[in-house]
Amino acid sequence: MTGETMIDGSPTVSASTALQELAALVKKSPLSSCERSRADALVAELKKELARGELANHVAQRGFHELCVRLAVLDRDWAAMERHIQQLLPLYAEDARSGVQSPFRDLLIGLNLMRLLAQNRLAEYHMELELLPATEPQRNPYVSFPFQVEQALVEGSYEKILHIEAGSEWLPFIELLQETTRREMVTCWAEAYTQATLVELATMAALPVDDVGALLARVLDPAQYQIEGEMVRFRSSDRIQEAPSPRLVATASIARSMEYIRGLERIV
Amino acid sequence: MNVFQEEIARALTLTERAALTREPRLVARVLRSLGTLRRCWNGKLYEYRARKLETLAATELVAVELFPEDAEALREERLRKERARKAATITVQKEAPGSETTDNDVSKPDKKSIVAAEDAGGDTSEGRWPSRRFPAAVSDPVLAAKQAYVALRWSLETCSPSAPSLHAQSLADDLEAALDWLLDHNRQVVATARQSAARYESEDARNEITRPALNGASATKASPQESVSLSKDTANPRQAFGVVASVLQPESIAVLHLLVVYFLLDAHGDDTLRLRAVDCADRLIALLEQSPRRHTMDEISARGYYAMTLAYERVGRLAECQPRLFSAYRTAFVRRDHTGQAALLNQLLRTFINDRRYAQADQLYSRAPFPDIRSNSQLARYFYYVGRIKAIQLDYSEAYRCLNNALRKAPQHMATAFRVTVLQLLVLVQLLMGEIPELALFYGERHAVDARIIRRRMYPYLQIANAVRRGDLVRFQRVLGRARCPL
Repeated sequence: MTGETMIDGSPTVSASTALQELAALVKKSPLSSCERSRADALVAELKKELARGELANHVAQRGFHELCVRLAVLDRDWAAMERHIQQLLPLYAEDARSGVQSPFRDLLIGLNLMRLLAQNRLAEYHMELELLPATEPQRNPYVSFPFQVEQALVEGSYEKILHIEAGSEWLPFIELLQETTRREMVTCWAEAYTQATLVELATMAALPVDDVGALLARVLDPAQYQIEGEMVRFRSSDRIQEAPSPRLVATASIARSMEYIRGLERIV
Repeated sequence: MNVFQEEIARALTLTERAALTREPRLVARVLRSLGTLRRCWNGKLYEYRARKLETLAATELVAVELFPEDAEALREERLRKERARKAATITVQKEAPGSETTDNDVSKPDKKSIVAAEDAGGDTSEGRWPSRRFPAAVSDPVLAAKQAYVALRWSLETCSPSAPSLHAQSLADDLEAALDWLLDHNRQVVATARQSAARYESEDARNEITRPALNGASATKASPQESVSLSKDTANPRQAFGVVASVLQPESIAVLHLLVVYFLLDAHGDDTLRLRAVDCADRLIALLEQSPRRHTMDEISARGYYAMTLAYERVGRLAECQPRLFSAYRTAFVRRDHTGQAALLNQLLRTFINDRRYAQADQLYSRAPFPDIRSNSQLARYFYYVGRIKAIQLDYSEAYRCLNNALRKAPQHMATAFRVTVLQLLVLVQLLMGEIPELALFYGERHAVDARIIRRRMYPYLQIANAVRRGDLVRFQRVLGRARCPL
């Protein structure tokens, strides 16, 4: 506010200084609390200017949204990140048409894909992936990482994801991704196992043994599983019940064949 | 006056009457007959007939090989059918000049011809009725294209004094520009058909195909020389139209304009021709928007928008159509114009899917209901687009259901490219669901006219399915590297 009133003439000067200050703040990523409040104040100011239409410059708008996305990632504010990304993607489409490119475009597209994956929105992830050119996963290192993660997720190799080694920019997503992966694993357990020991499940989920119960409670209906001491029994309503003993089935079919034979003999 | 002139004249008379009596179903019927016209001057009828004769010859070859004692009986039957067909074409040609000499009783010839058309369409299979009315189209598509050009020029000239909005001169220029390209296209069609026919060793097969060509060329050689000169005194508009041609209804004007746009689009020319087509389509849309929108105009405007999107797509500017399509869709929805709504919804989905904007296509699909219409072709397209969206969103069971529905709603013998595309996507979706598709899917019906095309296009997908069935990754990668799968 003070910067604006002091400089009469173009308000864009204050906007650009605000942007530069914000960029400097974002660059030193772990922000102390006063730096964070300063960053929030700057963001609010720039939003007002955007609303008033004074950030008419394409580059300034793009820069503002990029900085907001990165701040939102640091704060793990996924809703804000989504909003700013949605403003940013049409700007990138215009860029693609005119041939210019922002230096942060690769990073932010990768971050968006990773967010969709971590929130388990696979449909939207694929729809976003369709919009990128086919060479993107090879060309863009920030896209190849979520690409490999998605392949592992769909394959079902969950331990690969749980023990993943990622760069610093992916850290906010890693916890969310691990939670998503564990949820997928639990649904797989409910379908695959009739019973399993808590220790086995804990090693698979890379969790301490005491947390497995909480995990099951979060994901499954209480009717679907039952913890008995060291074992967990999974109950699925539509699983095909195995025959109680193979001999019974054979007896029934033998009896049926004998009936047919007797009937045929009678006819012939 | 050649067959195309009559056909166009009759179509215009019918649209006049439909517009005056406010009957949208009559307009729908007229437009369906225009589809036949288009296939005639496109060379598609010739292709279809040639391929059908080939498959017939192939089956007969097989039959003769298996049962040589029946060879004579088969030949007799074939000759008998040919004679019956030729007799039918001659009688129809005799009827046609008869209908135009009666000038006072104008309503009767219309009814007679409609009844004759219905009879012919009712008791024969769908392939034979156009081949009776348009023998030139079946035997010599180059001639058919010339006749169509003549007919369109004639109708433009006769209609232009009464319809100043028609801009006949510019449309006539467009027709001229398109004519050469269309003739080229049709000559290529004939060449490829003769090549594929020549593959069969049997003398009978070759005689079969060339004999109607010779007959057709000799019989109609007399007429085009006269009609090319555009003699206006023999073609009296009053006689032909039956109503006073001083004031044409906007529907008829739109139908004529639509025919010209179709002619341009079918010519498949180079860039200048495609840009011409875009201009023509733009003018058609402007005409449609200015005219009073009664329900008789619904079908015509739906096809007009289809032609416009096709023209823009050929030039690569499909995204520019979107605002116009959206406003037209809003208008159609508000006016309860179901055919227009369905057609425009399909075009909108196509614009999104072409740009791979599946998120926006999905939103449109969820917000806009598909109206309850009888047209199977629009339903087929809708199911295909929805199936594609669902497949991208990993909802494979829904996608499988939609694509199967699209196959069912698609025509059995026509629209080969559409069916092949749907089949390819269907195979992929089935593989992704974990099921191996059955072998019959890759082959099509055994003696269908387009069986060879389907088999050739589906061959890479057959290889992929085989690789998946065996679990052979090496083979899978090899097929992917070698083939160019568009999906």
